[in-house]
Amino acid sequence: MKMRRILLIITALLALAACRKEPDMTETDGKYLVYTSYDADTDFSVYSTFIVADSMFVMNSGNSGYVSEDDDSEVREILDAYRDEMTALGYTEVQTKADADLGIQVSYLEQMHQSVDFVPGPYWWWDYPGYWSPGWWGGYYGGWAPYSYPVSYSWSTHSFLTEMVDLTPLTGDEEADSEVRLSVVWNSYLDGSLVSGYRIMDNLKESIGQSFAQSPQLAK
Amino acid sequence: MKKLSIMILLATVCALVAPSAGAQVGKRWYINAGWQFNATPGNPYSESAQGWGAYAEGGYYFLPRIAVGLFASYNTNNEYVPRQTYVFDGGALNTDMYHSLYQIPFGAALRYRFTWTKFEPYVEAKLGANYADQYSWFASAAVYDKNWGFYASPEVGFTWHPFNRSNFGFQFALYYSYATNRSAAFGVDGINNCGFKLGLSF
Repeated sequence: MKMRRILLIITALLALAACRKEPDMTETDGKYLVYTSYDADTDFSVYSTFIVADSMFVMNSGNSGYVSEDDDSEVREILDAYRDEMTALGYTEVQTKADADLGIQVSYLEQMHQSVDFVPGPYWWWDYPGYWSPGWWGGYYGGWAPYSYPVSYSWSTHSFLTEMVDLTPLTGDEEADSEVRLSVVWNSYLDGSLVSGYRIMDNLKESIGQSFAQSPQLAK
Repeated sequence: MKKLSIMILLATVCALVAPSAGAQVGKRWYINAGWQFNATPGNPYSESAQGWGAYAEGGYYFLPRIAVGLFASYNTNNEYVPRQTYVFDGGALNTDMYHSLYQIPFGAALRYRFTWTKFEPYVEAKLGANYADQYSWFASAAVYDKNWGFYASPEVGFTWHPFNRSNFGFQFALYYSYATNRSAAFGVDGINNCGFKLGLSF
């Protein structure tokens, strides 16, 4: 009888031991996580002009596509936020890729579940079907493997990925440029998994501003 | 000085052993289990006082007042860390987060009870190992570390057995503990705990 009682207690304890109390993440501030990284070998002072791609690449668990800012005012508002930040840093916006030193591409993860134990470079989303082809800019990606980051899992929804590409190697000659190797020199990840729906655009613009504020390397 | 030491030793032995000659101590086994409220004062990773824990322990009185036993417990201590920017080589991270410290100490216990009536105050010393992990939760990810340490804990409390002919009762205890767990990643260098336990006694 005594032993049965002991076993019952031990069994109950073991069962309870699984009950780790995980924090209630809805109690966080409801804003974007802002992660930025940059290529430490890049001298940003050599760049003076930029262009922002006029579309946003949207990924939604298997479905994806480009949404033009001409067709969606919210896309335009978001891309304009990047234009404003770059201009505020002292860069000049130009209208053609051929004239730009830097190209900025923005993507939106509407819903994405991906189990990740360890994220080596390059980013896993670079392999996503249809993700920004380097050919959009004229060359192909190479070089910098941005970061590695230990995480227990990844469940990204309503998140934004932004990459800044060095376009200076391009010559304007389409045939020659197809052989040019382009580098991503800066990128940001705005994780909106915990973002509340209230004033979401203001929240997003604030996080875009934060991504530049925490990247003093970009300042002219 | 030597004579004084011998007298103290003899008095101690008499105090521990003598009562067995004239008293019925009831069941020699005891089992305690219940809820545990734990605080982590001064902890640089997660400093909080929360009741996300439980405990169980059992022992045997090999002398009327002295028992040896085993114990195990667990606790989670979570602390909210307001938004700030973390700068590192090649980048930066801006977020708020939760720090979560989870501990499972277990080992051996030595208990001394002052009486064996319905109300039994006692003091106890525990020695063992402490498993701990630290999770930093933010947005859709978490970074973590896991570590082991030695564990020591003094405790004072009582069990109350209100019913005749029954070992069933209640327990209340206050404890302090120190574990040697270390995490270079999260700046943990030893873990202080204190708290109270509220449970059942068999």
